[in-house]
Amino acid sequence: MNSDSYIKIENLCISYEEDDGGRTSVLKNISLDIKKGEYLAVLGHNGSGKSTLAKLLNMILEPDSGKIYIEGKDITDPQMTEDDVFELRKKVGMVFQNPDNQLVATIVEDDVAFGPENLGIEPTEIRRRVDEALSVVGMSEHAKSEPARLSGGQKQRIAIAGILAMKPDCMIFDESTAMLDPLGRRDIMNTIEKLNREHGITIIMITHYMDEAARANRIVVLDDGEILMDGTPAEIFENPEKLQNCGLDVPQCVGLVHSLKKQGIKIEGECHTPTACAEAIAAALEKKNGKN
Amino acid sequence: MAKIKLQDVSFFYGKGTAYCKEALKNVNIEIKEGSITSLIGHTGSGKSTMLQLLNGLSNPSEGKVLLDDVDIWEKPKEIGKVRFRVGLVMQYPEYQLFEETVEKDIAYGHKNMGLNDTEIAERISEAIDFVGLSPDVLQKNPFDLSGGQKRRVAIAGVIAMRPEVLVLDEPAAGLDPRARREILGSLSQYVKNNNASVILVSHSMEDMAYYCDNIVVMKGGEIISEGSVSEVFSRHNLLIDAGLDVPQILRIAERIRALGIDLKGELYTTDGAFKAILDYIGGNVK
Repeated sequence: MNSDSYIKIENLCISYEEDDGGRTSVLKNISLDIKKGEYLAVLGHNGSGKSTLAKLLNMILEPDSGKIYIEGKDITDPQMTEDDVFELRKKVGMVFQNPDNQLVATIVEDDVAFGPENLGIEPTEIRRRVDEALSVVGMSEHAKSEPARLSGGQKQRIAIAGILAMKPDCMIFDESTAMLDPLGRRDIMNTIEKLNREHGITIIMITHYMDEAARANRIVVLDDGEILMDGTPAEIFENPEKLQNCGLDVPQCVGLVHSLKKQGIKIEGECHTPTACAEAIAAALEKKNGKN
Repeated sequence: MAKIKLQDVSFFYGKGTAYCKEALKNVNIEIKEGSITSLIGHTGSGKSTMLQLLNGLSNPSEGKVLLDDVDIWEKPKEIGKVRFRVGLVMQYPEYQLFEETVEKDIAYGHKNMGLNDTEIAERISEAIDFVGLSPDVLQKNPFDLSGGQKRRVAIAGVIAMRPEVLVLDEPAAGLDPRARREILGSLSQYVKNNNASVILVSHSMEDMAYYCDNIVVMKGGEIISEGSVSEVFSRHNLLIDAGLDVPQILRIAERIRALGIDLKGELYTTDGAFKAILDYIGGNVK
C-alpha cells in the first residue's frame, strides 16, 4: 500500500437489517485514502452514510466486507483483540455532535483526565497531559469549573481536550458544531484548524455547513453510500448543480461568483472563502470599470 | 394589532434565593399576524426563556404575555387552551417521538384536545402533506425514519393542532441544506396559508436572511436590536459587537465596499448582492 497514507479504506460495505428481514446498504463499496496530516471534510445529505463511515474508522461499527488499514494495520481483521481496538481508539479520537453527551465528570480537569486514566498512564504524566490539552483548546482557566456551567462551544472544547490527552494521530468530528451558536462554531473551527496546523493531527470533519467544508484541504461528498465527488474545495464547488441534486449546496460566496460569471463577468482565482471571493469580485469590477 | 405581545416582562430563576438570576429584563416585544420573527443571541441570552413564556410553559415574574390582547395568565386554569393556540416545537424534537407509528405520534396531542377520529385523521393527513412527507410514512415506526424525516414528523405533530402562533427552537439545526430549505419553506407556507405568526430561534444568519420578516437580537436577557431583516442587518456592527454573526454574503459585500466599490441595496442575500453588483456596473454586462 501507499506508504504515506494514514487511513486506507478498500471496498468497504455495510448494511443494516430492516424490520421485514431485508437489508439496506449504508455504504456501498467505498474506497478512500487519507494521508497523514490531511484536513478532510466529508459532506453528504442526512442519511448518506457519513456518520456510519466515521464509526467504522473507530471500530464502533464493523463492516460487512472490505478492509480498513490504519498505518498499514488491518483493523477489520477478525483476529483483532480487545486490546487492539483499545489501541486504535487511542489513535483515532472522535468528537460527536452533542456536547452534553460527551462529558462524564463534574470538574473540567477530571473530565479531560478520564481518557488517559483509563489508558493506565502515570499520574504525573496525566497531570502534564491534562494541562497541555486544556492549554491547546484555550480552556486552562476553566480547569476547575463545572462543565454544566460552560457554554456549548466551551463544552465541545473540553470534549476535544479529553481526546487530545490521549495523544491521538487523527480526530474525527461528527457534526461537532451543529448545536453551537455562531461564537461556539467559530471557536471549534479555530481549534480544529490549530490541531491540524500546529500539532499535525489528521482531521476528518463531517459537516452540513458548506462554509466549514470550504476551509478544508480536501472534500469528499457521499451520496447514498457512495463517493460522489472527491477533490479540493475549488474543484468540488465548481459544480453547484451536482451538489444541489444530492441535497447539498455551495457556500454563498461560490453561489454569487457563479451567478456573476453567467452574466459574463470574468472573475479569476479561487473564490470559496469570503475574503478571496470579495477580492476577486472587486478586482473584476475595477477592471470592468477601467475599460468603460 | 399584535397577535402576541410581551409587555414589560421580566423573568427570574430561583427568585427569593441566593441563586436568583434574571433571565429576562423588562422585555417588550410585539409579533404581528402573518409574519416570521427570528430570535437570535448567544447561549444564555434569554431566547429559550422567551419561547417558554410565549407558550405559557413559564409564568412571567413581572409583566404580561398578551395573546390577542388578552393576558394568557388571566385564568391560570385555562392555560392549557393557550398551549393549543401557541404551539411549541422544542430543540431536537425528534427525541420526543415515542409512539409505535407516526400516525399515533401525530394524533397524540389531538386526543388531548378532545377531537373526534375523523377530525384527527383529516388534520394528520393535512399536516403530513404540509411538512412534505408522503402518507405511507404514517404506518411506519418513527424510529425507522431518517433524522430529517423524524424532525418533520415532530413538527407535523404541532402543526396538526393548527396553532395560531408557532414557536420553534432551532427547527433546522443539524439538517442538510435541502432539508433546511424544505422545513423552513413549509413554515413560510404555513404562515401564508393561515395568517399565522411564527417565532423561531436560529443560529444561521443565512437562513434568517431568506425566510424571516423580522429579527429580534437578545443579549444578557435584553433586546439589543430589533426590526425588519434589512434594518437589523444594516446595523451589522452591533451584531458583530454582540459576538454574533452576519450572513456570509454580507461580509463579502462589506469587504468589497471596503475595497472602494460602492455597492448599494440589500446586501444580505445572494440575490441582493448579485443585483447590487450588476447595478454597479450599469447592467450592460453581456
